[in-house]
Amino acid sequence: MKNKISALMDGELDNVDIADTIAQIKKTEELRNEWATYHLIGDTLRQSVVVPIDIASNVSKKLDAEPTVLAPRSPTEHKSRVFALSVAASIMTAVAAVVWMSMQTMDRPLEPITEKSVLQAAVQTEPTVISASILAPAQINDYLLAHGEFSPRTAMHGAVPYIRTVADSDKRSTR
Amino acid sequence: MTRRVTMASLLLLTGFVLPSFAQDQNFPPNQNFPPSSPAKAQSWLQRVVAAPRHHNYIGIFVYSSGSYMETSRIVHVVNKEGERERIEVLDGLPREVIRNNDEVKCYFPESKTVVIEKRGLRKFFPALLPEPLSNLNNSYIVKKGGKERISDYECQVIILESRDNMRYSQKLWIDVSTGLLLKVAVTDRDQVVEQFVFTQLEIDGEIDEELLKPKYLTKAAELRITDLVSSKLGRGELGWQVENPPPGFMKITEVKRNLSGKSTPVGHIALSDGLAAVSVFIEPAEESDFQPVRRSFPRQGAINIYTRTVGRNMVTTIGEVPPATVMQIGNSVVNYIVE
Repeated sequence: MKNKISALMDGELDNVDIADTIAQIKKTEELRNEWATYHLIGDTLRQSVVVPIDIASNVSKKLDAEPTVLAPRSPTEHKSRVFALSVAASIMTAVAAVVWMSMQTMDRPLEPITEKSVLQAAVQTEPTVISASILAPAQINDYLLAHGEFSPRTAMHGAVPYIRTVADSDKRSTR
Repeated sequence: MTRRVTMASLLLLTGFVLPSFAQDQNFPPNQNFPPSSPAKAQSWLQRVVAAPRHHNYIGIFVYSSGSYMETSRIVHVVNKEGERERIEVLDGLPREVIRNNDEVKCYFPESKTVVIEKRGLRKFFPALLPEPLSNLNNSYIVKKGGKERISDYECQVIILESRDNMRYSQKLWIDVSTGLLLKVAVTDRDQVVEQFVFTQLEIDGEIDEELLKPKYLTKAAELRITDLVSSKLGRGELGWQVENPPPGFMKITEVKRNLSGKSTPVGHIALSDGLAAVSVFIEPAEESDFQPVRRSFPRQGAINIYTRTVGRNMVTTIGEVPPATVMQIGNSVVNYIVE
């Protein structure tokens, strides 16, 4: 099913499959999450600054909360302007939340290699350290994972060698 | 079409022996090596590569390096949806690795982070990828050892003895009846550098697919995702090369790839001797107070890391090889486009 979702996003499904897949996505929350994840990945790849959140449902929630005006109104223009503004406001709130969220996540360090452990061990192993940590821990982690793609070990052992990469470095540094 | 032509000439130019990795795609029927046949040590290795595509298994393995030790649970399922795997680390910080065919996702639930590594290259350009274990004989003496029991399975021991000190030796314990790898020891002369070993294992039993689901699945919107996507480059396009790799190491490929928090893709050159791989990452320095640096990082199991600056670029070399090897490779990285 996940392959189908990915294919749907890439426009690789035929009409029957499209309808099928969308129906499945509508039914299961897990698939909806998967769908959102794939879009998030897509946005990351396209280097978008703003990470999308579920704007559609936020806006419709706000709309639901809007009072429904049943009585005929004489100064209609005024009312509808308020309505339009409030929709705009909810979208603004959503966008603000998105920007705030992406700023939140931007500088969060990636484990498992901690700055402390890297520095500590670097001092132990290499006397020629010239500068303070120039490689962020997150970067080393990314490097290790990227390296995995071409390691023949992966062909023999599946994802097992990745365990090295995600190893708990806090414990490691105290060994 | 032009792309194909470029790829073909790239292969010719690099002199890389074209491996038949394409078989990887089609889940070939199991080649039957009767356990008792005097098959060469090498064919045991080919069996190891094929085995995970034909057998389900569930078990517990221990990874150890120095005095560090960690236990993980693994579930591995092969069916019409291909090969899927889930590994959950049972000690320390919760971590999880989910593999769905060529896609590997590493979950770090504590920080709500997921790192994705998808082998797009393997899918689209299978022939370009290293045949694991090709040209092994140049760098290793491949020997068939005795039979030993691991987790109650009879295993054939295969030894890959390094011909020089530029790489580690490896000892593999291969299940005689399925070809699955049940224990690996990476050694530097007589010292064990790292080890994986199954302590409990059930092969080809019924496995509930529910067990493949990530345990720490959180809402997508709460996750920070890094996708290490890469794009293939033509020869020379990167402008960097490893001039003097240790004997036995050949360039596999060069790509550009995304890394977290980087505005521009990072260059990545991959080399291998058929068993061990070394990656070189090149990126322009971003700091304004940039200063030259040359340093090694602590070993991560058998993996060593070495960083140096070349001009205003950071060159980081990573591989499951001894420190001297990453340093030699790292020091011979040159930029052949005039800066």
